[in-house]
Amino acid sequence: MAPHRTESVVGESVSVTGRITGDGDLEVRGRVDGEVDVRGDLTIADGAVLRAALAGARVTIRGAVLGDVTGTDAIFLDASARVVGNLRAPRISIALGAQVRGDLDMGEVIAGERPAARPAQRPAAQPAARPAARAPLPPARPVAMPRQNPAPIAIAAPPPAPSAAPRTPPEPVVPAIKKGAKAAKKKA
Amino acid sequence: MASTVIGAGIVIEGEVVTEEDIAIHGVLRGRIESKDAVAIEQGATVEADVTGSEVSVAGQLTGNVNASDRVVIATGARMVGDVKAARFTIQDGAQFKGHVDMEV
Repeated sequence: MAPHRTESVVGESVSVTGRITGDGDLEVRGRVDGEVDVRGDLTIADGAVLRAALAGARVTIRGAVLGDVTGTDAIFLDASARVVGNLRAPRISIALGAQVRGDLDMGEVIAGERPAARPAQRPAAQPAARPAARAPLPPARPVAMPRQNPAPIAIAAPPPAPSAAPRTPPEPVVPAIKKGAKAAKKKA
Repeated sequence: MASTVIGAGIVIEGEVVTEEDIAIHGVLRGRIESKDAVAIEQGATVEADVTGSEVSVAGQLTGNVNASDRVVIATGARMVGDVKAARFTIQDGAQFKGHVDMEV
């Protein structure tokens, strides 16, 4: 990995709408709507509000986040953190007082593979891909795995159905009158 | 140091709106709107319309600039776009192509 460049800060009064990507470290103190994906460490300061999918090496959260969080190294939720979204990292720590709603996945995150960073593009494919990645794990942890796996599969199953169904126009409700039938009636 | 710094390794695609000053060393495509100073530093690449009180360009800027106070194009900077500001400075060695409106 390239050495980290200038540290970047998104200040308190700043509102970013869109995508932030990069190699270096980033600290967000303001608002972000969209996506944040950095190779370095990502810090979400107390008071920051993010409606975004986050990805970084070590992700430290002290503010409010609505969106999935992926850490290739670790995720730290401090006491002031409020997170609604799924957390995925090899190491996850949650401090006393932090509020979280979402799934936690501590399966090994392969560098470069960041499914949580782009949930908007393929939301249906994500749950389906996860059990496959976990497949080698069950022998090591047989108790927790079977209980967790069926749920994502059930969610993933319905989406392909609409595309598979043949698109035929609905049957006409009113019987079609033959052309010239009205004229023939008048004549008679 | 500016309250917001977009480092050299950072790429932003979208809008950045702030009331404080902002310094950009990295890449930004979209729009910047600040009530304070906007600094496009040496090495930065910005493809965006920029609004600020004082806009200084030392890197590459493609886009229109609207400043309530002034615009400074520094030596080594390269800017393509229109400038609207009461005061406008181009330093020796800066490249600029565009329209200038100083409300005369």
